[in-house]
Amino acid sequence: MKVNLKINGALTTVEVDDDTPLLWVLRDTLKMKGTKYGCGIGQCGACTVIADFQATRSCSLAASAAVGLDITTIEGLSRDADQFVQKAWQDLRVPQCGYCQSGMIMAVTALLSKSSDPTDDEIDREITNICRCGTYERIRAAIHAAANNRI
Amino acid sequence: MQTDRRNLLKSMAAVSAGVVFPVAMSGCRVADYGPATPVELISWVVIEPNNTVRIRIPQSDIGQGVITTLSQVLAEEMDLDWSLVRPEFFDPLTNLKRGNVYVYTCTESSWSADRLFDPMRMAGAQIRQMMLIAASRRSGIAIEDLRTENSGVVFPGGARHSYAELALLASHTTPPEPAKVKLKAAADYRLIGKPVKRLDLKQKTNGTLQYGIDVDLPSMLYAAVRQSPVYGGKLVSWDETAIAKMPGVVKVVRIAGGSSGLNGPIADGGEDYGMDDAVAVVADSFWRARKALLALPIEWDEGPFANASSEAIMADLTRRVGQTQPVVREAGDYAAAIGRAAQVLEADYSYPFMDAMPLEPINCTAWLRPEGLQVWASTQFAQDAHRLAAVTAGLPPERVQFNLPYTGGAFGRRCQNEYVSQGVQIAKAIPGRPIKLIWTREEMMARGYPPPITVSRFKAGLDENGKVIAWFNRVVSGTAPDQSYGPARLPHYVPNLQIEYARIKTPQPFGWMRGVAFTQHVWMNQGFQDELAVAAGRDRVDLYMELLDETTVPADLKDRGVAVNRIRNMRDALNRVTKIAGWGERLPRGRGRGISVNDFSYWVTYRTGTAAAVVDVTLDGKGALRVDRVFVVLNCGRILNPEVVRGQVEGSIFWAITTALYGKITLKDGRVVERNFQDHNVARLATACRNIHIELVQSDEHPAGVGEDAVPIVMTAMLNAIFDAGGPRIRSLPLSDHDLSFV
Repeated sequence: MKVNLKINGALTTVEVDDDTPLLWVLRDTLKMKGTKYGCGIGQCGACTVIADFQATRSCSLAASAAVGLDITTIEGLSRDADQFVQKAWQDLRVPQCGYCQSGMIMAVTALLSKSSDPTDDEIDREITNICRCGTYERIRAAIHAAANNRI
Repeated sequence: MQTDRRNLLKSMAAVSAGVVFPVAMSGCRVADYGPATPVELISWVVIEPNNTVRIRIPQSDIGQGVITTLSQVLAEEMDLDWSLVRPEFFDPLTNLKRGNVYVYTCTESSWSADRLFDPMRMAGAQIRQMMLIAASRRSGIAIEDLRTENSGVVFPGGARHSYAELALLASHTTPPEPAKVKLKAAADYRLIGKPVKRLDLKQKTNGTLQYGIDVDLPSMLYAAVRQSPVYGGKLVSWDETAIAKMPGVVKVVRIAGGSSGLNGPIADGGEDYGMDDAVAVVADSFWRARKALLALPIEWDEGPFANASSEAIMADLTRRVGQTQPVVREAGDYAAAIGRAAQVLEADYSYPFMDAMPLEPINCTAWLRPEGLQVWASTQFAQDAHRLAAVTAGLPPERVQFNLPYTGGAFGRRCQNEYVSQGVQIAKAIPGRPIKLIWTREEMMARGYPPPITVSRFKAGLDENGKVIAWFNRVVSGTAPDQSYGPARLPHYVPNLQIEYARIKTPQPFGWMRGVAFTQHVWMNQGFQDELAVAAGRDRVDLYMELLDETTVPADLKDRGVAVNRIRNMRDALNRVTKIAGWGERLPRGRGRGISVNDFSYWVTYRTGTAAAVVDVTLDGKGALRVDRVFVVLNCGRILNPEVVRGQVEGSIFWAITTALYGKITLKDGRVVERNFQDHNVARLATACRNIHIELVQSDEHPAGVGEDAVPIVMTAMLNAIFDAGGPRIRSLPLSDHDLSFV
């Protein structure tokens, strides 16, 4: 079926099976590889995008259900990796293998859009993404730094 | 002799001291890089016309940062302008053709720095010398009057030639003999040891970094795979008619099991490390391939392990640990000493199957055309992936190009390359079209390569003063190469000691996992030592220090100096960690501390760092555990990049926490029970420790590994802390199986 999507501000029409998760539409149909596949069941968060201001696991959202949503992917954050969360990630040298970090940055961007200076407990509750390299404490520090830099 | 994973690499010619590099080749593979004239110098670098320098990194970047740290090493000696450095992954075919010119190309054992520090410094220094010779020839000025700086040669009057301007001429000079090349004094380092930022930081924060799973080719097809759900099973048949009408399905491909590379014919012990039969569905999108695979009826002959279970295996190991097993280390007269001990303690520890679970799912892209085979895959062992691809395709190696992308985590799992064979088998069935094979997370968990399930029995005797006078340890584990270093490479020389070790065959092929056998055995050994200290009413550090006594090292021990040094390094690390952690501080009930020290000394002359940890935990009395503080001291020899090293220690801490809290893979009816992260949790922000203190010891020794050292000690200290807090003595994992509430 034809699906109309709004991604990073642009309208696009794709021809996919209606149950195809948004993740695979982004990666395989639209060739936007920044959004990652990790578990396929909404656990790990590597596929996180922002849909209408909400952090959303794109592996668990059918493309047909994404119609009408305003979707932002990692590619839509900045032209030059200089969005405030990305900058904090660079300043605090967060990434190791880097595979989870697109999803982390999207989840954190969404969190900071509704809570400008989250507490540690709030961070623990809201950011449930998995990083197998174990960059968690740098992630926490980078979230605080991003919040502070923006204020 | 000790057998370990190094021995698996014997097929790769080992190049040791006095590396000789092949004669320079100019303009190699120019066609790949456009019409300008990049110049390759002794295989390690390519200098571009704009003076940027491509450095070949003969390792996989699996998150440990070698793309940056190894660049620092070569750039240091070559006097490169850091802003002009452009690292790239090596080409296995080039390495093969030129006789292992990159020296060490498997990414394992935390060996990148250890193995490549000397060769890459030498390469940089040789190339720098070639630049000086070229500049001298061009100008007629003596080399002694020239110097190098920021990717160029500077003349006496201050004029300079960039390396790009000199590269072609330099490529026609003979590389100087390594013996005649002078390396920099450490005091002059500008890059080695400096916390430069990773060169891929930007691409890792904007989603543009290319991992294996991101490879995209024109008219590419996608494959989903299902392997025998029982290890060792065979494919009987499938019913293709069931999916014939499903949209986008191109083909169903039978994949033959067999040898899978690193763990194939060169593994020790003659064990079958092979992969099993599989079925792949190929379609025009991965989603369609996966959906069709789920709908495909497949019949398996489940083979000899159809009824295997962790429970039965554990029962078998426990039975065997009650029987005499081969002795791997002994001293004095254990039987007599235990007989006269004032106090005797016994305990059984056990360790389950586990899974490394890197976040980037297994994948391989392969494209077979008349002109040859192209393969892309995230792997820790690209050289062997290239070999395996050629063998699988039935092509001479020269017609196979293996392209190494970035790797989204590995932790040992990607030492095995069986998925490369699978990808190539699919490509053979659909020649002319690139295919990308992706395993689902479920497939990854169903088909892991676990470290061995293990039971370890201890018995020790204390004299009236609480001194350990007799030590007995018998270990029986599942399928693995010889890991007797785990129980037997203790740094202690207890006067009366007997250590036995045996293995049985278990269904899954063996796999490496971050921390290797040290994770199991350091915890078991030092868990039991912690029990001894408690029984003797002694402080743990006091007992450790007594065991770490260089005067007890036998006078006639071969490499005695190495053994003594080990003890000194461990004592030093212990002293340092007790200082930063404030050891001795009294904690209220419900809070506890543990301490541990270790090195990665597989065998006597193995170069290794030393690490010690103190971990504080809180038990809330209702069953919940919190890791409050972690202190780690790491002495890893010369530090190449302190921020990268810190990152590795931080990562190791969370690896240890995950292993302790959740690490377990369960076999039942021959199958892995855990299907995805909903059945096997891992540390997340909420479980992470917020209070971490790391001390890196400054050292001029040769660089040692840093990727794994903190795993065993942090896990050990954490588990011992639970008892200290008033919780149960932990003798099996994971903690999620234990009741941590206390009265």
